[in-house]
Amino acid sequence: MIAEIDKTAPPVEILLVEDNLGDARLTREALKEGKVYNNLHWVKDGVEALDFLHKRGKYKDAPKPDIILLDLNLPKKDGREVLQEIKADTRLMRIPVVVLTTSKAEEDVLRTYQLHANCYVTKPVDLEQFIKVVKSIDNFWLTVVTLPNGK
Amino acid sequence: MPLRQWDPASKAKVVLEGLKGRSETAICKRHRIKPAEYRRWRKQFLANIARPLESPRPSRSGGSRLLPGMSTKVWEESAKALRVAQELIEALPIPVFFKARDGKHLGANRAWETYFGVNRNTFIGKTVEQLFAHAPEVAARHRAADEDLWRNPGTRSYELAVPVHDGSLRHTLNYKATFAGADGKIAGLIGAIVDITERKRAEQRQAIEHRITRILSESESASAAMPGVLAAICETLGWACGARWSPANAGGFRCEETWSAGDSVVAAFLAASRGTTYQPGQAGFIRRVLGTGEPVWIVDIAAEESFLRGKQAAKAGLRSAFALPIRLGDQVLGALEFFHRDSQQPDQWLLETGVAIGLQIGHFMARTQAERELRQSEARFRSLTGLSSDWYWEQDEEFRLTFMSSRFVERTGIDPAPYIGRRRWDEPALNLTESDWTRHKAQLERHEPFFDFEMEREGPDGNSVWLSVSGEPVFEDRKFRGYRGVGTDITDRKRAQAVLRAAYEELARSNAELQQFAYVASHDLQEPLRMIGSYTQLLERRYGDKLDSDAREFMGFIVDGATRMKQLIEDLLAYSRVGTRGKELRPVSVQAALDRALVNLRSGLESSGVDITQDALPEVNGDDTQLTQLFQNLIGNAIKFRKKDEPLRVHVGAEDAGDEWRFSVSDNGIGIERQYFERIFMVFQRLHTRDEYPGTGIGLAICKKVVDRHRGRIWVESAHGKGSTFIFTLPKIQKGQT
Repeated sequence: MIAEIDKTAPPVEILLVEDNLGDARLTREALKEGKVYNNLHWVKDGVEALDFLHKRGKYKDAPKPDIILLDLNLPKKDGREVLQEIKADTRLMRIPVVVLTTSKAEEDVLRTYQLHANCYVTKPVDLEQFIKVVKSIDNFWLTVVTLPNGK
Repeated sequence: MPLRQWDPASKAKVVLEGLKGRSETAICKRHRIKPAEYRRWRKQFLANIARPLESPRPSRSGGSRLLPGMSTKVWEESAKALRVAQELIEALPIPVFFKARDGKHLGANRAWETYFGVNRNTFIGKTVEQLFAHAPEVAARHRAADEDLWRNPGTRSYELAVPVHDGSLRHTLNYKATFAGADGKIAGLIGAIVDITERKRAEQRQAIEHRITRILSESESASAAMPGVLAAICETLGWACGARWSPANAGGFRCEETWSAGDSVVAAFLAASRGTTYQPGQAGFIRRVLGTGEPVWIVDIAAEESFLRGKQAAKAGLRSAFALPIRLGDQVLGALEFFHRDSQQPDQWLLETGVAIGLQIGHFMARTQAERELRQSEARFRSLTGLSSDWYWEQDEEFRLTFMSSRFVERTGIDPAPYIGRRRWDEPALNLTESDWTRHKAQLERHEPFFDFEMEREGPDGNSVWLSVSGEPVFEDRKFRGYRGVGTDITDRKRAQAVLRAAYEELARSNAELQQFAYVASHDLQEPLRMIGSYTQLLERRYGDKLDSDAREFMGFIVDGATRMKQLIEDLLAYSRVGTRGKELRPVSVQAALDRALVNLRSGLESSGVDITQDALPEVNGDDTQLTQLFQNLIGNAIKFRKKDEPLRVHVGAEDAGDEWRFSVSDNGIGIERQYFERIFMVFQRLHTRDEYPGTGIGLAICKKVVDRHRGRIWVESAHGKGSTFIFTLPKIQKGQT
């Protein structure tokens, strides 16, 4: 069931910002079934996420992620603030951000904030659906990398 | 029988017999003369003694013509005395006359002649009845006085109004004294007349004016005063009746009050007048007075063509009339008219007096009018302040309180006494800052009106009292005099507002909490669900081949449960969002909403092969997204609950129901039993198992909430097995809304 992963290309650097261990693990499991060769970096709150992105403290050697999977409900600094800071920073604003929401309602609320996320994904209860979502992220990524100056 | 030759002295003797009281018949019989001859002698004799002496000397034949046989010396003496007396009488400025015992006049002086305008020769030998044939009551009074004197000789005096040569009435004081003849018996009387007309009239005028003044001072209105005024004039001056006229609307005039001395014929005439309103354009007696503001006198009303009521008045026995204007300056407020039974010549004095009385009444009417207006104004003010819960206040030009009506203490319980003489800002107001007061002061200094100035003061019980005052500047002769205005106790309103605001805030807070709750519930409840569902599926995916079929079935229930729970949460959230996240209502096309709903339902419509018909749909004030949702849910239900063995037909209707539109969505589906008509609109109420028809039971609850939010109603008409019609109303767009 797990697809073959092409490891000839450099791995895609994925930053997952997720405080829930179960969701993080599920994402990791879903990515295993995807086609993209990736390095998944997992941080548990907004502050840590920004440290990672700005290469601060223990993240001073962290790579610049190619894509950010951002949960909204985070301790210390929530996803909205993280998104705002990313989009306000010229060095980070081009990194595609996929916002992971719990419900459609939450997505509607976020849209009203006009936070300029690249994509909203509602976390499904159904694993099959979730795998589809992660695969769609794969597709999304492949689309992005084909663009010139995509990063 | 040979006729005896009579010498003048003998004739005089005979005549003197008559003057002493012997009757004409007796004298004629005694001296055997004819009555005509006796009368001729008598007349001659009387003319002689009444006339001043032509010559002081006796005639050459010796002796006087009057008293023959008198010695020359005696004659000389008496003639001299008589001449002095006669000259004195002749020269007197007051009328003097002599009357014989038989009541016939013997002579009079020149003043008399002038006074009555009668040649004295023509009146000698005449009685008072002959002299005053046109005024029998005057003659009767004189006769009565004479008779009294004959019975009790001496002197008498009495007052009497007598008509003189020009027809005018003169007031006379008559002095009369008897004189004796040679035989010592009363031979006649001498009378003197003093004209007291001026004095009398001054008295009359004073009496009238005094009486009218008293009546006016005791009367509250012209109507109440007028009968008394008319009576005062009529009774004092001997006029029969009177009436007051006042201008009526549009140039006409009307008889207001009348007075008469109780004669029923006159009263009937007046009653007819009282019912009369003359229209403009009609000629008339009163119109002339009202038009000119001058008095008018009519000697003979029957002959006066311009006097419209002349005939009736004449029939009532009235002869003369006069009318005087009631004036205030140049303004003519009405007229008084008076009628006399006898012909009356214009009386200048009466006309002048009348004008003065008219002015007096005019002033009275103006004053009573002003007083009535003031009373009305005060009454209005009293009833206004009495009925109003507001109080009234006044301030002087320094903005110091000078008056506060009693309603203030009644309403607020605050004693206004300490506030009198103080300015509004001299007392603290809990709600106002220094700059609020500065602004208010500036407004007052600009003499601008102000409205609903709110102050929170401390009440007597320590609780705060809210006052709202409004005021306007007062100017007299363009000079600022202060402010006056009203105040209202708005404490209850303020408290109610505070309660309302607290309730509103509480509601807003609770709504926000609820929303927060819904959000948290949707988010935080779903996370564990996701864990349950996802990891169950992951277990099956990875280790499915190591489990038996029971285990896989159980895991299927876990996933199904978690999925349904997620759907319930989503639906509940959608339901709560109808109220909290709806758009503002504005004119939208219902057709467009239906079209969008049909697009959203496309796959369901295609698979069921439904036949949809519709009426023309109007615009309404609405939230287009929610109306789309409404149609989508209703038509979605029609698709879901269709009969399996019959093609589905759906009709979307719209009809005008006055203030609102009535929409309907009818189908030929399975229908609903009456007992569930209410229940189907409640959240998560289902009539069928999920095996038969999927769904959480939120659809119609959302429909109801959408219609409620649009201030409409929704209900269902249906019979089991015979299809359903969902009906909902939406208010029409009001004119002026865009």
